[in-house]
Amino acid sequence: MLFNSPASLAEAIKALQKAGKLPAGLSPAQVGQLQRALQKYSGQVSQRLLQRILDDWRSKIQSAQSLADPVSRRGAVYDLAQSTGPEIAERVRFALKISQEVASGAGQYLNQNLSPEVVDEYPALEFKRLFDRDLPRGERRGPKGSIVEDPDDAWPARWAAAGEAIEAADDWLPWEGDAQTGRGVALKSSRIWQALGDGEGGYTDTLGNPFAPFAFNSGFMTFDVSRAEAEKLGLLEKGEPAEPAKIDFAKLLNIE
Amino acid sequence: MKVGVSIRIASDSATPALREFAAGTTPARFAARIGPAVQKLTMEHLAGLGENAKGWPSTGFYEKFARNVRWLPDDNGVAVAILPAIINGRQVGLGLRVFGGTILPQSVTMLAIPISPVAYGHVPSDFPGLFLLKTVTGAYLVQRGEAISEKTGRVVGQRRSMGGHAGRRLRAELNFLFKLTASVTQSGDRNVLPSDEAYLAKALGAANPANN
Repeated sequence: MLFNSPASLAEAIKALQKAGKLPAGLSPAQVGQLQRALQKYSGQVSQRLLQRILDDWRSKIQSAQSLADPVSRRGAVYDLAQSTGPEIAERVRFALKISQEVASGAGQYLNQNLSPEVVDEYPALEFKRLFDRDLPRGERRGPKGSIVEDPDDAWPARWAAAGEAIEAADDWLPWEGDAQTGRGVALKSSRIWQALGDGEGGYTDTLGNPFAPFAFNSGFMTFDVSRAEAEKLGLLEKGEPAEPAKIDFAKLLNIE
Repeated sequence: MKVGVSIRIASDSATPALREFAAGTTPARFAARIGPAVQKLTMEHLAGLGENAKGWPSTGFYEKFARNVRWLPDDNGVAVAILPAIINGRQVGLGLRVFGGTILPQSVTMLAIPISPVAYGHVPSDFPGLFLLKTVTGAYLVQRGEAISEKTGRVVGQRRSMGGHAGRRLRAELNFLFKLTASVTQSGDRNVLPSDEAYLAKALGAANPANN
């Protein structure tokens, strides 16, 4: 092997001459000329390669931008991200996952609130775990991979903080049960849902929405609570009219 | 002899109950009562499907669909819809799992079927340096035998640069990640959804105003 470690161009030329792969009788001036020519050639090739890569990317991006169908565009963005390397691809994959979950949550939120009959029959929501997580909120990794309790980060603590922030005691109830299998119940019209999504209490991993998922990678969802149960729990008087959530459509539909 | 019978109603509790029942029998009211209940049943069922048949690490496949369950009123009462989910950047429906069918490649010439827990939930472009290997049993996408993270599917550690015989032996090993095939026929599995009996029991329970 000619080179076992990185060599300068001058060293490389000398080695090539020694190996008989370049004329040995080149003068120092000729070596200099050859060096400059190779550098120029190398620069031109690099420039052409960069330009080709740039053109290719530009064309791929333009083609993705021209897709009117959001599903196809999402697929194109995913493919582009795949070729940028694993780190960016992972970030894009995560962003697409979260946006999909938020879009689903917005759909559920509208379903739960738009029909007067639904709001009357199911005036409240319960917030409880539906999907298991390897490391749920309320637990974190400790020394040597052990799992330690972190109750201040768990949903009951967040629920209490959100309830305190809205200063309304009659449209939500204290958390029932433990952090993982328990639940929080409140009227659909309660501001506790927005407070939960806003991370009241100093939580920074929330998504800012009044519907589930309230935070990244959350396995908790909201489900309708019947009028009979809401009345039994004391959230409503018997026959008391129920109100839907006040939906901020501009924010929900991302309209500036 | 004639006997006159007169009935005097001292307390009428039937009329309000009948009125309440009548109010609850409008199609919109009926749907509103049943819809959320059967939606929740479907979501909980999908969320409970858990691990895949091979026991490989879950990719959260059914969670994506559980989030997309909706109910909507229709002519016969209430319909449950499970909207398509986005998986690896592509829109995927649940119908094939339930009813079965044949999958054909759309934008590529062959389907890449994961045959390793490392590849499960991934697409070939997630793995740098894959190459095609044809054998008598079929064509495979293969990665050289570096250490691969089970979590991310990426090459980890320093083994790539390991020299000597040990390194050569290690590099000579191959990880078979995907099998290439022209199509896949999947048999349906009705158990992906709750049973008809479960839906009926849930709907009947929710239709009773006393429960709501």
